[in-house]
Order: sequence, then structure tokens, then C-alpha cells
Amino acid sequence: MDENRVKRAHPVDPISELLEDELLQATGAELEEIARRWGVDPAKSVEAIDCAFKEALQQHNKAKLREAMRTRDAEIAKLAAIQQELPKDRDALIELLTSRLAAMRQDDSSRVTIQHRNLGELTEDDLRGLLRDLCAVDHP
Amino acid sequence: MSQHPPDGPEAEHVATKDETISAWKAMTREDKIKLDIYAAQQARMRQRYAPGISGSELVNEAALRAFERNREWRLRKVSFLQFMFGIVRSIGGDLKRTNEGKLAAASMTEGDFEQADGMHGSQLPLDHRHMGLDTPEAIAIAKEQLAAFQSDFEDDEDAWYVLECRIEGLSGPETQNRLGIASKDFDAARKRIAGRIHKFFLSN
Repeated sequence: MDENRVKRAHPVDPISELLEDELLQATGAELEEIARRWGVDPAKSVEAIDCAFKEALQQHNKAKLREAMRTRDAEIAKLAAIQQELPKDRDALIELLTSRLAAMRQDDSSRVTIQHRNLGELTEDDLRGLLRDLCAVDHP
Repeated sequence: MSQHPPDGPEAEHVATKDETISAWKAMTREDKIKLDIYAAQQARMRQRYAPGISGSELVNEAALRAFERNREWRLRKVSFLQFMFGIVRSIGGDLKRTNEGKLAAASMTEGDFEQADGMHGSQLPLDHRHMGLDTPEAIAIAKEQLAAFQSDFEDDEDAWYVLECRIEGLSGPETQNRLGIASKDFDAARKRIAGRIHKFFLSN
């Protein structure tokens, strides 16, 4: 059991290691005796340990959820900012999208699969949606 | 737990969160008693420089670190119980205390504190910036405790030397070799030491 120990970080670690060895080897009455010495009621141990783990798992899941919500809020804020910056005029939207597609084609033609000569057939919402998507691709 | 852990990449496999949850659920009643006792011991040993810490708080924080994988468990090398012992031991000195005197998990981030308690800026825990480090005061107290504990064995040569070898970082077999004592004498000395730890820390 010694070979797997981490490097000591605290002056009382040698004492802790002795306690660990004693516990790892103890069974039955010996374990009951150690529990009694340290004021631990073994009858309550199972519930106490399960309770601590359950609470930790809930804390962990809540923290993960908070992290996901923070990421989602940041994404929404970014999209809202993009939307505010888009022109209101239809011709200006087509012009902007055309120039974005041309810039992308120049950069890497395999990235552009849309035929921009048909942009005039798209609604204003479609044009805004495409611009937002392109922006998201450029700024993941 | 295998007596002969595998070598190579397989031995280095780090448990996933699901594997950690499964290991917790597979703990025997005896293992849970052992972890409960160990956490109580660690809490007791740290009362002078971390007053109010309880065993259940240590287990809770250790489990949180295990789920968050702040500490990696190489499950082919170390049993889950030994892994948990290691985490509990390492966090004894770095639990944080909020300005209101509440104990708080060191693994909580600044954002978590704001979300959980509505705390901001200067209301963050006093020690939060020193996360993961024992204070010099705590180290000094612990050194003093260790010296005082060892001096309790001045009339028990075997136990004194066994403890000294442990302090030097020697393993059990290395200690026996160094001292040239039989296995049963070594075990007896180790038991005498372990049997007096509770008395020392309950009164110090």
C-alpha cells in the first residue's frame, strides 16, 4: 500500500499514513474499537458517507448547469450584438452578404457552397439568418 | 483490488465521473465505516488551525473533488478507499472559511460563490486567494504537534524509531530493514503508535 502514495505535503502526513494502514488492515471488532476511540458511531457511517457523496454530486451537477447557462447566456448576448449590427435595409443586407461570401471564397473556395447570385430570392429574415450563421462560423 | 497492478497504459487509466459514481455505490459497509473514521481523524488532527472542520465536511469536499476530477483516480493502481483517503488527507488544511465563519469548499469558484450566496467582491472568503496552500502558521503548528507526539514515545524505542522512519518517508518494509526488527515487532510498534494518536489529538 505504500507504493501508491502521493508525495507528502503536510508535516502530519506520517501520522495520517499510520492511521490509514491501521484502518486498511482492520476488520470486525478491531474496526469497531477504532471507531469507538475516535467517537464515530459505525451504525451511522453508511448514511453519513452516502449523504456526503449525494450532496457532492448535486453540487457538482449544479455547478455544471451554471457553467452551461453562463455559456448559453454569452452565446445569446453575442448573437444579439450581431443582430443589432446588421443593416435594416434589404439591399444593404444583400450587399453585405455578397461581400462576405466573396471574401470567404477568396479565403477558401471550398467553404462557400451557396450561389450568391440567388440572394435576391431570399427574405430579409433569411438574409439576416445567413449573416448571423456566417458570423458564428467566423467567431466560434 | 489486484495484488499486482497492471503495467503500461492500462495502469494509467483515469476514472471517469461515471466510474467514480459506480465505485462510490459499490463501497462496502466496512469501507464506508473506514472512510467515516478516517475523515473524523483528519478533522480532529486539524482542529488547532482549522477549528470547526468536521469529518462529514471533509468527505463532502473530497467527493466533490473526485466528481470534478480535480484529483485523478488511477483505478487500476489504487483502490477507491485509498484514493478517497488521499483526497481527505490533502484537503484537511485548505478548506476555506467565509467572512461569516462558514466553512466553504475550496473547490468552489468565485462565480459559484456569487451564484450560491449572492456574495460579491470583498465578501468573498478571506482565504480564497490562497486556495490549495496550507498557511505557514498551520504548517508550524503541525510540525510542533508531530514533534510533541513523537516525544511521547521516548520510553518506547521501537515505536519512536518506527515513527522516525515514517517521518523520513520510509515504507513499512524499508523501516523494518533499517531497524532490523521482525515483522511482528514492527506491527506491534505501529499499533502502539496508532493507538495513542487519538489520545494526543483529543487533548492537543
